[in-house]
Amino acid sequence: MSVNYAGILWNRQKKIYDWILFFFVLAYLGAYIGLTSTFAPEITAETMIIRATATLALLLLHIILMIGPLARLNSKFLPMLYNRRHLGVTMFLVALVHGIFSILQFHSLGDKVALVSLFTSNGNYAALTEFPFQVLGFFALIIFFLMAATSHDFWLKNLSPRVWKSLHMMVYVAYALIIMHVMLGIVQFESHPFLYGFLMVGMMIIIALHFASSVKSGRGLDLKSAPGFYHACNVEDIADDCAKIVTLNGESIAIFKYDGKLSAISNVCKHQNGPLGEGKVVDGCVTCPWHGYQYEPHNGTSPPPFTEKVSTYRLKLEEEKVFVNPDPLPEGTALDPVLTEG
Amino acid sequence: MSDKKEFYIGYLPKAPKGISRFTAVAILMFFLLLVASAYVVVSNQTTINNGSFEYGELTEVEGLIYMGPQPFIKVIDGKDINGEPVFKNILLINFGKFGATSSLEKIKSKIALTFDRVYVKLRGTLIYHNGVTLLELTENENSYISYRPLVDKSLYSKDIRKLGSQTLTGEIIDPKCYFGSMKPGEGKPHKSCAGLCISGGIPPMYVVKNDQGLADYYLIMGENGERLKDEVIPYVSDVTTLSGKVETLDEWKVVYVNPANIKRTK
Repeated sequence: MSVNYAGILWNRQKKIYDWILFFFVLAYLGAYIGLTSTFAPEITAETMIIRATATLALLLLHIILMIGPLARLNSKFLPMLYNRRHLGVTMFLVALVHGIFSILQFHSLGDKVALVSLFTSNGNYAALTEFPFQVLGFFALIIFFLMAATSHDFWLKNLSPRVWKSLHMMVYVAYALIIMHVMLGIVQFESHPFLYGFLMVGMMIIIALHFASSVKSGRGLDLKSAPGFYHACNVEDIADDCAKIVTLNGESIAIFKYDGKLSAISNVCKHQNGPLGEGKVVDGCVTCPWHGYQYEPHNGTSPPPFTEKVSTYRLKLEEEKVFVNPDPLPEGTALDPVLTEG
Repeated sequence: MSDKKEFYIGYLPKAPKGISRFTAVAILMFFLLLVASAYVVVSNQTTINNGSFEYGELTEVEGLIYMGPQPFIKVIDGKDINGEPVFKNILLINFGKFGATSSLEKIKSKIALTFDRVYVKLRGTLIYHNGVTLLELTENENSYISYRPLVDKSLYSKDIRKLGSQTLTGEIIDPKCYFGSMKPGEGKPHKSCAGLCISGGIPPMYVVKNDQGLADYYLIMGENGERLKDEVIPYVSDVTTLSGKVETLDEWKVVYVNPANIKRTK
């Protein structure tokens, strides 16, 4: 469980996840090939591979970006989030096939080295509709490669969770590049509205889900202040063994209620910055919804032999109102829980 | 434990029942979304033509070779009822994204005779669509098989007819991809590939389509008959307008243009 690394641990849930993913990839490619033989039998094999892998990678990317906010809005989506990195690596491999076939098809066997041709055969960088869209896909693929290559906890440990998370947040840059890659590429040619419509609907869904999950995380709430403390919520707002998340002065704080007590710790897991406040108190420990990392709620420390620590925060209870001081205490600082009952 | 209280922890052997059911339904929904997406994308591909590239199949062709205005082999198949020769001019290109001029020069050196005195037999891969035929010299200069003397020297000629100046609206393409080796071999997705093909010596051509989708094809040459490459590459795959004198060389049309006057229309 600790932020350490070992060979990939294959447990039952991961195996189920990967088998379903494998089936998805095969089923989509099979469906695409079968439908192509019916609707567009004159298409060349290379174009079919390029288009099948392009659309599959695009769909997988949308699912990857939707899972995070969906799991925040409804914890029943957590099983899809648990092994998302395998989904990401799979998406990269599918996109890599698309990239390799495209470079072979469009840029090999010419009077320039293929990668030179990629950047120079269409030199209309100053124009929008004539822009060399393949370059955008190339840079997105580089980002996906960096993410896939560093997906193992070896890199999480060695890069530090903060750097690792920053690197993996580049997925949003890659997504923007991919949207432009499609808009300035095939959409300029295949003018039927479906592809364009799918792309726009997909983008709107992703933006809406991220916005909704952000609101749920307490960002942007107008909280009344008390001396040094801020009103976070009322006791009844927090379900047993669960948390209320608030964001104050840039601090994302999870206030847990358990066994008639209240404790506040950082909402950011030390593993992959998962939202601890969307987890649950299991066996007396706050359990991260993403990968099950655990912390004791009163001191923000992982139970032995693990060594992770997160910040804790002071709480005050006035009648039913819960107040929190957003100044973080040093990671692992023990605080007496606030009692909610007699 | 009710559904509301269920909490998923991935490293435990089993997911709670309610979450398992929910996940199964969600996966099914995603699967239906994937298949529906595949159907929508595939069934709306509107721009795939029925050109042919006989990949892996080499065909022997015997005819008269012309180096200008672009490399051709003219296949003559007897005479019609009026005594006129029945022929077809096949545009020659090399393997990959290259023109055939260099291979033909090497073949000429090999047979040590000028092309106006011999029938030459070549082997290559046929590409054809809408009445236009190309032969890819898949083995480059090794595509040469044999030659035999041309007895009737009058056959080594082309019927040239001047059609005057014309203004055309269409798209600059590379004929190898457009007529069959790639589908689609036109439009924005193919822009850089077409540029690379023309840069490698494949003759640029112009496609003019009417409202019914019927197309006219023109070889593009410079105003003085020079071959154009870099001058036209920036306009490849865009809808353009150009003006110039038009001629027919046998069944092929040629437009002679000043590339500075090519204009994008969108």
